[in-house]
Amino acid sequence: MQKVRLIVHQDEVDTALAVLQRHGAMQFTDVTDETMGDTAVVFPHATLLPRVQHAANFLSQYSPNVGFFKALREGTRTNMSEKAVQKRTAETDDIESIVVDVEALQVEFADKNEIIRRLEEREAILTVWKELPYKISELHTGLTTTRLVRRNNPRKEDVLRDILETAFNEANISYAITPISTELVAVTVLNEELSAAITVIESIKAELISTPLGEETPEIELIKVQESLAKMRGEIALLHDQAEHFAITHLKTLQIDAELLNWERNRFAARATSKQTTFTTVFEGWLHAGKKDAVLADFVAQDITAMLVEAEIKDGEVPPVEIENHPLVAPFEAVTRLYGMPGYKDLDPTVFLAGFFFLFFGLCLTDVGYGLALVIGSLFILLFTKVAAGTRLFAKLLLFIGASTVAIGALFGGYLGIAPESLPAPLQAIQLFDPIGNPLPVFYLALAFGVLQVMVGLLLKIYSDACNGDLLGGILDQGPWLLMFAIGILYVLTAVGYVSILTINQIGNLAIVGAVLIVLAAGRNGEGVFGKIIAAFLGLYAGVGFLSDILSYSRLLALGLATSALAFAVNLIASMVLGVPYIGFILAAVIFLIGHAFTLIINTLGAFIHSARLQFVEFFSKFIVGTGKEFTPLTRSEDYVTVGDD
Amino acid sequence: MELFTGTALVFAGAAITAVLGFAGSAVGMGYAGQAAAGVVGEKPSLFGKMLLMQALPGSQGIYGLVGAFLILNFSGVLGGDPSLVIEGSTGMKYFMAGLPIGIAGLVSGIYQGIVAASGISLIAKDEANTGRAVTLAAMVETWAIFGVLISFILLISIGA
Repeated sequence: MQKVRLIVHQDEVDTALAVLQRHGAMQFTDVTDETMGDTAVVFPHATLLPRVQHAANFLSQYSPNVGFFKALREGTRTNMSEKAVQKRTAETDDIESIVVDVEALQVEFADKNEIIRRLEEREAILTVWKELPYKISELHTGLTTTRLVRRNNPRKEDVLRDILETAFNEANISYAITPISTELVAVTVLNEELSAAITVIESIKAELISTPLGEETPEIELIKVQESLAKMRGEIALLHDQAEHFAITHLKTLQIDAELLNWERNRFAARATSKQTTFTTVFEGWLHAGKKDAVLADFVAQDITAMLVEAEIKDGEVPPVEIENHPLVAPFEAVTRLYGMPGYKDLDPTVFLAGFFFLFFGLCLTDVGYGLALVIGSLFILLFTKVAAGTRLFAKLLLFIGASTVAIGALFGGYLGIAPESLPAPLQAIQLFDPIGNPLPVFYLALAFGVLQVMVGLLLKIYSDACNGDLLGGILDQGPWLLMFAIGILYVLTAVGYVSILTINQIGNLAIVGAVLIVLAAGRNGEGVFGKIIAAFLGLYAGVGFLSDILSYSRLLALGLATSALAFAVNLIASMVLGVPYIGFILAAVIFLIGHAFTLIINTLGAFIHSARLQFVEFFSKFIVGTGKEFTPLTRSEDYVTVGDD
Repeated sequence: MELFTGTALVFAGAAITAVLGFAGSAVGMGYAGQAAAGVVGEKPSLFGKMLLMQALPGSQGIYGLVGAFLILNFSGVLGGDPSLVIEGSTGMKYFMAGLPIGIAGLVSGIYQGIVAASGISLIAKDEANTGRAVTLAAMVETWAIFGVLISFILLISIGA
């Protein structure tokens, strides 16, 4: 990563930024040089962009449904050449006429939906009133008022009419009641007694129904409203068809333009970090060193008056971090990114964790069947679908770790939980471990992998220190511990009789030498006599951490065991229902498929997370000391468009 | 009766070792999961990191599983030998050997979950804190691992 200053002629700023954006080459920082003037630029499409996005979102509801597998197979993004992108970018103002049409359509939708809402409200009221034989215009005259009253009677024998008659008589109110049902009546009272009547109605906990609008009887008005509703719904259906037509003809254009305008907005946001001289605009930021030549070549090809010069890194400024690896290792970057970026001065751990992660995932899943399922699934994604680049990379990772699971599953005799003795002889012959019958060898193997990875971590710390100009410090800090690990391995091999170079006593003496070296090496970092003594013993205490790290690898055994046990349990349950008459076979097949699918998902997740955790906690802690900020260049976010070569 | 008690104690030791570890992990992952769900609601892009943080207190359950298998294996129960005879005192040794993993797993699982939940807040504020949050939570697990170590040493000692 290089700190650079980009100087561009003011007339060519957007073209130069478009080149940088295409390559995703530069992360901009604010230019703080007070000798230059501020750049005052306003994104010219600040109001158009949200309108285009809104129109695209609206039409996407009416877009024809694309099948899941078709979308996977053919992809959902539009392929465009670089020339087509540039041509369309220059024409984005044309989109406004389409946006205006879509907005008019939205307004029509909103108006008609509001009318429908009101008609539906009237319909609901009129439906209650429809049995009343009077015209609505007669409900309120100069002398009387008629209101509809409803009460849910708690007892069947209670009739609302009788209850109201009693209540009105007690209140000396003149009335006429037209019964509609036992719970619904129309009450006609004198206008001057209306308020007293309402009080009586409320006192018996009855409900006054809103009076409908209209002239004719409620039934006739209801028919009219229903006719209007049908007409409005027909018009909405026509609008719906129009929206579908718009979606077919304009949605892609709107999405593409929204994307291109968004890219342009980001370029203007980058311009806000710049300063100006009389003729030039000056930017500062971090340039991806590997992309510098391609950017300069494009500047020349497009005749852009711009230059990139190295800038001074200010005090306290830390370069952002980007990780890039060989295509075979790149899929494992997903694991590194899950943790976060290493410090700027740290090593990119991806290439070192790739092999261990590959192995550990296989050890955690240890089943040929589940491994094959991952391989087949990932191959399907890679060969037959057009998914985003990130998804393809993850599919590659699944392919690799699936293959590891197949290989290690064969060595551990894991075949969808089938007992090893039921397997064909050739498969039994390649089985080296029996994790359920004899878990100790697998336990020791897991710890051995722990020792190996911790030692690799220590070696990488020496290498990292050497890269940062402190080889001696690296050797003094990590060397004694590497020696102790070597002595430990020698001790174990001697104790089990594999080697007999030294006696156990001699190895013990060597361990004392190793411990003294650790104390001396760690002690050099302390200040003053007491500081050195404390640092020396703290150095020795680090051994506790190493022990804890190595024991943590026992999870490789446990997760492998859990997969085998769950797969075995699924088979057991499936075999138990086989005896059910007629449908036993079908039931068993369903349990087998669903059970193993569930086990595959749960254990794949567990295997991934715990294999990753071993990298983060036990491995990275040995050689990664910093925390990096990810390189976030001005780039194109390709949600609707993929840009290919011309 | 004496012989029966021995086998029963081995079974009880394996069961308690596993279940205490599972319980510690379940409570710890519950704490972390609650915090993670809150963060994912606001920042869905952090789901991967939240999943990692929630998984950290799951180790104690795994150690419990390992411990149970080791007890069954060392005692000879796992081999399914019908002529196996375990004396009561030996069974008690296997029972006691499982306790360090179980109890350390239970307590550290719960507290690791609490630290993981705080770590989740740390990541929510700044993604770059992931390494620090993982390290802080992993520190608590050290004691569960020492439980595994002591149990393992005790199991080896029984056979010696």
